[in-house]
Amino acid sequence: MSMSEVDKIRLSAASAIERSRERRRPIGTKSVALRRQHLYKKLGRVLIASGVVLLGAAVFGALIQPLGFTGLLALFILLIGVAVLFGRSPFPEPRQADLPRTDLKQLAGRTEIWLEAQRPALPAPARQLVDGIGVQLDLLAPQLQTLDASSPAAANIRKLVGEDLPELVAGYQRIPAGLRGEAHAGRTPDETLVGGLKMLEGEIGNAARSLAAGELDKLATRERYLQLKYQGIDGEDTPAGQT
Amino acid sequence: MSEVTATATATDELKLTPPDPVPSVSPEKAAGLVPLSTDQKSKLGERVDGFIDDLVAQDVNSPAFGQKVDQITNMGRKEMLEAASHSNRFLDRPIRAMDRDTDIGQNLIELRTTVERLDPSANGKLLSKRGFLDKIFGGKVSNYFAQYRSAQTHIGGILTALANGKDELLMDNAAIDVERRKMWESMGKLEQMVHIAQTLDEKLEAKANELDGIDPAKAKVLRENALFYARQRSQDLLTQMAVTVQGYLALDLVKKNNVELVKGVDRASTTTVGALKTAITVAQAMTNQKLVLEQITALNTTTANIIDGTSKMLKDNTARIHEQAASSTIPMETLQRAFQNIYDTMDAIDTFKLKALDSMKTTVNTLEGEVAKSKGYIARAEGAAQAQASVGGADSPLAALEG
Repeated sequence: MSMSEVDKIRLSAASAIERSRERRRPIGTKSVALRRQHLYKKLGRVLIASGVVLLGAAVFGALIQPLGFTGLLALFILLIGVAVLFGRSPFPEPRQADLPRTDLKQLAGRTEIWLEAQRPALPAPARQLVDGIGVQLDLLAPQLQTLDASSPAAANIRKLVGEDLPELVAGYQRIPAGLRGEAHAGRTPDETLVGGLKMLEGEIGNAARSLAAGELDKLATRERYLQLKYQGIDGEDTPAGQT
Repeated sequence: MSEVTATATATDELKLTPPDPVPSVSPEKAAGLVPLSTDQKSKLGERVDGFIDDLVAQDVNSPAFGQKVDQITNMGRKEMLEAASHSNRFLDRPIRAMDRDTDIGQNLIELRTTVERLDPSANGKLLSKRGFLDKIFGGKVSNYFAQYRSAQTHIGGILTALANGKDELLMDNAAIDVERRKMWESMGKLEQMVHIAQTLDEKLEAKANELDGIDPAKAKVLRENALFYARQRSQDLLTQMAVTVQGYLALDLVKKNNVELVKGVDRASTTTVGALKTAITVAQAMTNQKLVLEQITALNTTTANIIDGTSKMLKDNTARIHEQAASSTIPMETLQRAFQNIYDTMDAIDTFKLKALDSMKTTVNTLEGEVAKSKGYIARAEGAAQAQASVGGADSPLAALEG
C-alpha cells in the first residue's frame, strides 16, 4: 500500500513543525526568563494604559456628557488601539555588536538568546555543544548578579561570553556555506568550530566554578569555625585524600 | 602558705610555646612530600610510555612532532597556576595574623592597667588598725572594694572584646584549615606532574641512547628538544612544589600561633574572672558586705560555657576560696595571689608573642623570597601557554590523574 498524497503532506508538515520547534527551542533557562520578563513588562504597560483610558472615559461620562453608543464604540476602538500600540513592541533581539556592552546581569541570558538564533545555522555536533554552553551559562548567570562589574573577573567573563563566543560563531557564519565542509590547512571550518565551542564550554564552566569557589570556601570555613569553637581547638583535621 | 597558693584559677602553669620558624624548602627536597600510591605511579608511567612511543613514531620535521614537544613545555601549567594562586593568599595571612595579635595585645594591655588599679598590694596597707576617722568616712577596705563596682563595666567590656578576638582567631584558623585542605589537593596534583616529568626525563634519555645506533639524527633532536624541555619543566614544577610546601608549613605556623594565643586569651579571661570572684568572697568575709558584681557573674557564666572546663574549675575554686576566706587569717593574701595569677598569664603571653613574632617574620621573609623566585617560572609557563593556546590542556596525555 503506497502512501497517499495526504499522508505525504501530513508527514512533511509534521517534520516542518518539528524543525521549527527545534529552531526556537531555548538552550537555557535564562533566555526564557528574559523573554518572560519582557512579556510581563509589556502586559503591565498595556494594562496601565487601558486603565488610564477607562478612567478617562469614566470621568468624561460623569462630568461632561454620557458616553452613549458612539462613545462606547469609540472607547472600544481606543482600547484596541492602546493594546496594539503598547503590545506591539517586539523583544529586542540582541545583536552581536551589542553583546560586549550588555549589562553584566543580563549578559548570560542575552548571549543565550543570541546563540538560540544562530543555532539552526550550525552543523549538528555544534548544535549539541551550544546546548551544553547554555547549561554552563545558566550556571554562571546567578553569580553575575552579584559580581562587581569593574572587577577583573567580570572583565574576563565579559570577554569570554560577550566577545570570544559570539566572534567564533559569527566567524564561522561568515564563511560561505559551501566551503564550511572543505579542509583548510588540515581542518575543515566545521571541525574548527566544534573544537572552539568545546573549549568555550569548558572555560565558561571553569569561570562559573572559580566564581563560586569563594562562596564554597566561606561555607567550609564557617563549618570548620563551628567545629573549632564548639568541639575544641585541638581537633586536628586530616585533609581528605591524605593517605 | 601552700593552701593559699592554690587560688582562683587552675594551679598548672600556663606554658605557651612559640612555634619554630619554617625553614626554606629546597626544590630537590620538595618532591615526594605528598606520597603517591603505586597504583597512581604505574598509571602515570603508562601514560609517559604511550607518549614517548607516540613521539618517537613521528617524523621529527612534521607538525605533529612539534605539537608533542609543545605538550611537554605545557605540561603541568594548570597545576602550577593553581598552586601559585594559593601563594598570593598565604603570603598575606601571616602578615594579617601579626596585625590581629596587636588588636588582642591592646585589649590585654587595657585589662592589665584596669586590674593594676584594683590590685590590693598597690592599695597600701588595708588592714591597719581602724582609726577614729575610718569610723566616720568608712574603712579603707570598704573603699577599696567600692572600686570594683566602678570598674566592673570596664572589665566586662574588655573581656567581651577578648572573647570576640578569640572568635576571630578561631575563624582565622578555620580559614587556614580550608586553605590547607585545598593546598594539599594542589600539592597532590603537582606531585603527579613532578612524577610524570621525572619519568619522562629518564625514559627520554634511555630512548635517545637506544636510538643513538639506529637513528642518530632523531636521537639528537630528542635530546636537544624534548629532553631539554622536559628537564626545564621538571625544574619549574619542583620550584613551585617547594614554594607550595613552604606555604603549607607557614600556614601551620600561623595556626599553631593562633592556637597558643587562644589559650592565652582564655587563661587571661579565666584568671581575671577568678580574681574578681575571689574579691567578692573576700569582701564578704572582711566587711560583711555583699559586693555586687552582676556583670562579672554574667560574664563568668558565658565564659564558662565557651571555655571548656572553666565552669567546673571555677565551681571547685569558689568553694575553696570560701573556705580560705573564712578560715585564713589573711584573706587579703588570697586576693593578692589571684592578682598574681593574672600577671603571670599576661607575662607568659607577652614573652610568647615576642618570640612568635620573630618566627613569623623569619617565615614571611623566606616565603617572600621563594615566591618571588617562583614567579619567574610562572611567567615562563604563561608565555608558553599563550604561544600554544590550542595544545595541551585536558586532552594532553601529560595531564595529572583526576581525583
